[in-house]
Amino acid sequence: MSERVLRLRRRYVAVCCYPNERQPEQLWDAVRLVFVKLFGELALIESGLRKVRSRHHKDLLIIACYHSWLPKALAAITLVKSVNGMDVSLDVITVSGTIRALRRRIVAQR
Amino acid sequence: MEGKEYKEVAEVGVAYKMEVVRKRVVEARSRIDVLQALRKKKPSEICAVTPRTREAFLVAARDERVDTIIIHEELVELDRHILKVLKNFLELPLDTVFKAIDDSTVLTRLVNVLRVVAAVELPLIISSGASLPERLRSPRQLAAVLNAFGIEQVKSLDAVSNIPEQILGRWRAVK
Repeated sequence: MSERVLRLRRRYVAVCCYPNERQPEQLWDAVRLVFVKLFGELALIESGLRKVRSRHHKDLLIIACYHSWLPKALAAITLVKSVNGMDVSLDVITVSGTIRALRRRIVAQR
Repeated sequence: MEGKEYKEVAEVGVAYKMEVVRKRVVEARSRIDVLQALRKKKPSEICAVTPRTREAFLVAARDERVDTIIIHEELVELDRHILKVLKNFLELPLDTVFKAIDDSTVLTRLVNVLRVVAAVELPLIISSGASLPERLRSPRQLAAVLNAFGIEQVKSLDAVSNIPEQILGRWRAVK
């Protein structure tokens, strides 16, 4: 895998939604749309932005990206203002370098 | 927020050991609009000006009674004449960034303004500008927006911490 060769470090971001009525898939679509609008399709690929499935926290959206793209990913999360026509606020709970640490931090924060 | 409402909120704030500051946002099209608004300004308030013309911008930039100048979708270009007289802080409300996402002209203008801010190291703050809980964002997330637009991380964090603190310090000294 080129990630290993290039030594690309990842960051995992846990995001919750206020009001908490939306599925993580819908939130992910909204984040991806804002990211593409701001930075373009190529940036979406280069950033390695993707949704991570989580069995433990099904109500949360967990996003992975390369660490150098973290501010841009956070900006895209911040600039989501509506999902399916309803005003929402996406709040970043925590950011971590591994999924295991992320889970631990989510549990500590809740 | 009316006077009575503000007093109620301020009382609740005291119970939680919080300081509640009232902010007056003034829309100005001319020099007279800015000066009239500043004459009406109470010492217990913070004043933000939304300048709709270059003339209003120049007056707001010079007058020390103004706390922040709001960067909006029609903001004039920050040229060297403006930079020479600019004494006040610039404020970027998140609403302007939301408009910029949907309109490429606004986005171009915003990127140009922020490029000048970064190059000249102008003091800038970023705010949610929210009146609804769905529009509120955490300070770190707001700082990330500035960082994504090319402002250094330290400066972005200053925009949500040190510079607002300076404005409050100025307000406390006058109050």
